[in-house]
Amino acid sequence: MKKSELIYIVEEAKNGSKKAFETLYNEYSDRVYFFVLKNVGREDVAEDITHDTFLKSMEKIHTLEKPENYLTWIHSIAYNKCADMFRSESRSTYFDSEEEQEAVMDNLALNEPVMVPEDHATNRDTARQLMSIIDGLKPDMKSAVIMYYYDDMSAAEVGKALGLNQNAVKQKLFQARKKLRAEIEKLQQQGVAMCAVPMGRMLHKCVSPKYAAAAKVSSSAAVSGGLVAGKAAAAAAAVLLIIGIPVGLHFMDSNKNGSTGDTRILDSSANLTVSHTNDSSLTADITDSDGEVLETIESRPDETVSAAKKDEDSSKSSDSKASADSKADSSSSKASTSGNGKSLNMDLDALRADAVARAKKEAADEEAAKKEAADKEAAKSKADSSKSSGANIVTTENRTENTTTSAPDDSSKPEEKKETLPVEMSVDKMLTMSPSALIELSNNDFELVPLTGTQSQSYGIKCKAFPSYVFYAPNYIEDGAVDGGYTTELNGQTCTIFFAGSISQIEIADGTEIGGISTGMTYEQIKAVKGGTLTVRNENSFISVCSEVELDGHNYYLAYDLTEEQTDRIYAYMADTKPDFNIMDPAYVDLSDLGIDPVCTCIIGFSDGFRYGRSNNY
Amino acid sequence: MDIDFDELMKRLLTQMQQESAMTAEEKKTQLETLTEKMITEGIINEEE
Repeated sequence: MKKSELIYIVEEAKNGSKKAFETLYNEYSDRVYFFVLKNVGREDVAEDITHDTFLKSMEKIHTLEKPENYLTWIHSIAYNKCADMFRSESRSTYFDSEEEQEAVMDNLALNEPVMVPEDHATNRDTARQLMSIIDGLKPDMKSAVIMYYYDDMSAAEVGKALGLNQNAVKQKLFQARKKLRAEIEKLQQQGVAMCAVPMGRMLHKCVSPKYAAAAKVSSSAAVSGGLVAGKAAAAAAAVLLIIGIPVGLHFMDSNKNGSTGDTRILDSSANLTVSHTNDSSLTADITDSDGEVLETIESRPDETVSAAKKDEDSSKSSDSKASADSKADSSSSKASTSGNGKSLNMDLDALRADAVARAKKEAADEEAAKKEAADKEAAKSKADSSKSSGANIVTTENRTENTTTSAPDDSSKPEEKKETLPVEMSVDKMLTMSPSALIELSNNDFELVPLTGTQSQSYGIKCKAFPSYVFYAPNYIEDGAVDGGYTTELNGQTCTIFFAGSISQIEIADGTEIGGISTGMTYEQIKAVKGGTLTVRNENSFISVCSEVELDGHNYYLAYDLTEEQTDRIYAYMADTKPDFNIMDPAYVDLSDLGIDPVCTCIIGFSDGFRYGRSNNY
Repeated sequence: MDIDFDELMKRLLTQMQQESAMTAEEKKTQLETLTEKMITEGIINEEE
């Protein structure tokens, strides 16, 4: 539905138009139902929640100030309805722990033998496994994925619907991508056919109407009017939509070029011929260097529109721009299109070169801007930390690992050792720092460590200058050394971490004592330190219950190692003492009353506005 | 391995949506129920 049409329909719905409501329902009920179903997992419940969502949306539609935000708005209603349902059941029916989630996903996707011998392999099987992986994501991550990828909502819109900030949404999307990518790689290792299409990504980035128009000007073919050029761009983009994935999944059962391996990569010799026929459908022939047609693909007009839009939205792609280099470099292709009997040749090498140049410039600009900002921030932080009361740099004897820097102008000079000294800084102060500033203060001496207190597998940074803490900021990690990020080692492999936000969470490292408390202490021991007063409260499905305590002037969550039986008892007790408790109005229990004395496994501090990746206005 | 993740997700989710969608009959029933309820409650007008 066009934006102008949506605005008109919503305004009509505000006036109580039955027809407008029916239009909105027919347009969006499938999306809402799908979104809800993937959250709650049961068709009957999903139907009820979809019903309630539309009912509430019409009751409240007069409050929708910007009709163009209807889709985001109705998703937020649906999401809140799902959350209400979860709360009414006292606790999540999904995963109690990361391990449980992993186990379920393994059962769904990996432990089953992948029986895809060459002559029986079908793309549907692989797609099914990938769908299972998506289904296995936690509800909030899955919600973000559906809204972002399926409903084409921006990260900001998804954030509004889920009550999260944009960085948290990006983090969820990043984790989902990482998870799926890892599973795809596992499938490939198991022999399942997957196909890389570097040309597709390159084309996707290259062929925009602008470049098609440029190609049109340079073309020797007799092309009249801009429409054909636009169609050419749209056609090429449509083919990208088609070959981008179907080539990856379709080709595994139709290996037409005679190779016996499962994996086929359209390399630099692949050519693409796009035809626009009279019935407005598009066909594309992918041929090898000998002109043999490897695959013919058809596209209909609606796919063209979708693909053209996707082309415009290509910036949505999460992978770094810098990666355009390698992708573009891997292909040297020419595409020829013919539209309404007229042909147009596009020299993709020229487009590729242009794209590479643009990507390099963008990456260089971005890096320069980042460096400048980091330098300023680091300088400011150093000055601040020196000035602040109690914040001083202290020297310890623990200097076994030092950062090495090379002399810039004379490689023959011996390497200069630069010591990384522990920096003393309050937690409140640290939570105002940027990850880059902390890393700079550590002379880039840091390591990535798995976080204990996150809902999904995430990594925090443990800086040499702050050995007692693990910092978390929204991030994504790429394999290898990549410009613009911080390169380090993870599990013995070189990787580069990019930060997408400020520090939102600090975990106290194991063995570090804060306010007389450290991980490994039991509930009763902590209670004694806290003067005999301690409780736990209900939290989310991951951490389940936690104590919220003040340590050295900052609030922390203490998580415990609880068995399922113990957790059930705690929740039952909460329900008895406060039947309507929920995450915003929690119940508090002194575990001593239940005779439970678990071990503290995690101590976490949050920056203002963050608690387990959700904002306080959740 | 180079996979166009955005398109992969979109394609998978589209397929999932198609497979899990309410039937036309279910949609029609729900729409009728909703419409009737909202008319009763005065949220929408019976006549255009």
